[in-house]
Amino acid sequence: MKRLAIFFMLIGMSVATRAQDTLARRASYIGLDVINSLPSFILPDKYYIRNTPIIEPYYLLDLEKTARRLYFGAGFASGDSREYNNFNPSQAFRGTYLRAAYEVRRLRSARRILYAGYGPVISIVGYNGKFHFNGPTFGDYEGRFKETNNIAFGVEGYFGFDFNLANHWLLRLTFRNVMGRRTAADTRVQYFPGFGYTIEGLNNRLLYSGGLSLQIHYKIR
Amino acid sequence: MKHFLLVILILSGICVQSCIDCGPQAELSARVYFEHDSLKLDSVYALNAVSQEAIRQQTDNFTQRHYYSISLPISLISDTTTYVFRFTERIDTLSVYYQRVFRDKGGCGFITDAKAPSTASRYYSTFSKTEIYYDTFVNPGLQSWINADPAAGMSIWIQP
Repeated sequence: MKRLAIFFMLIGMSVATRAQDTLARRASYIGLDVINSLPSFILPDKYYIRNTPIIEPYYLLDLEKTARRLYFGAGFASGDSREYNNFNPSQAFRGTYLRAAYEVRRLRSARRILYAGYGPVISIVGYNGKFHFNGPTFGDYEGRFKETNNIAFGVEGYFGFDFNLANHWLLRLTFRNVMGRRTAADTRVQYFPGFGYTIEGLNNRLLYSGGLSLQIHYKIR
Repeated sequence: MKHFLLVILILSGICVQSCIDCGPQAELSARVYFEHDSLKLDSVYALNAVSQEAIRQQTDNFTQRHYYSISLPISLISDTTTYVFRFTERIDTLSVYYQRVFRDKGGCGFITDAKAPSTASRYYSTFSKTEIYYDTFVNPGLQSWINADPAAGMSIWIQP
């Protein structure tokens, strides 16, 4: 509880303070997420998705107002989820998503900058998969399902740290929380690109997930 | 405070798990009732079955008291299932028609159900009288805490 209070206080402070950055220029960065798909290749049997390339390019644009920034992200993910049991066999998915956010940052030191932001997310995903019923008397039944153009809208909130690496390079570590709603929810999905893994037992129309992202950015202006 | 939240979480988790009626997520079975049964039922044989075990276990353990009802598995692969009933004095055939349903139900994953066929004929039988009632195997929503009866499913009344 105490940590949570400090966290909210930090966000409040970062919103309220104007960073004393007198050299503010409208810099912009392009970036790429570097760790998102790694666990699915290294630990395909432990992680909730397997062999899934996730490509997430980013664009950061500083606003004229000091310490304010716009953040745009696109994403593409294609792969399949892990097989849990007979009733949750793996699902193949392919999705594209877009996110944008308004973020506020606060200088903590010359190298480390805290930031927080929020913004909308939209994701369009296609699914297919199998399901299996045991039939001891007459034989097993194996069925297939397919959903195309499943759209979800959501809101993402995040905070994290920028680390200035070298002249033009920026490393961004982001902790994010995203909530969304699917427009059509015929089948429960294990992984929704752009929204991540939603734990079982929750309504299959609502998506809720948290995550971590590590990005490398290059200053283009 | 922290522990209280944990307890609430666990309790709500148990509730979510136990309140949902998923129905049988396996091969479905129709309940067969024999009306004023005076005939001796020796065995039931299901056509196109890979194993008769589920039926044989029931007919082997028949006692005078409860052999007026048995539970017969219906096929997941086909929309019709045929049984041969062997009594001491006669042999009867019963084909039941139905429509399989496979769908995703929130909190359960995929479920299986059977409903009345779209065609007019619901059965073919050599019994003197046959009646089939189609009821869902899956209760529509949450199961009530007090009246926790499972859904009835298909039931067949036959008069040899």
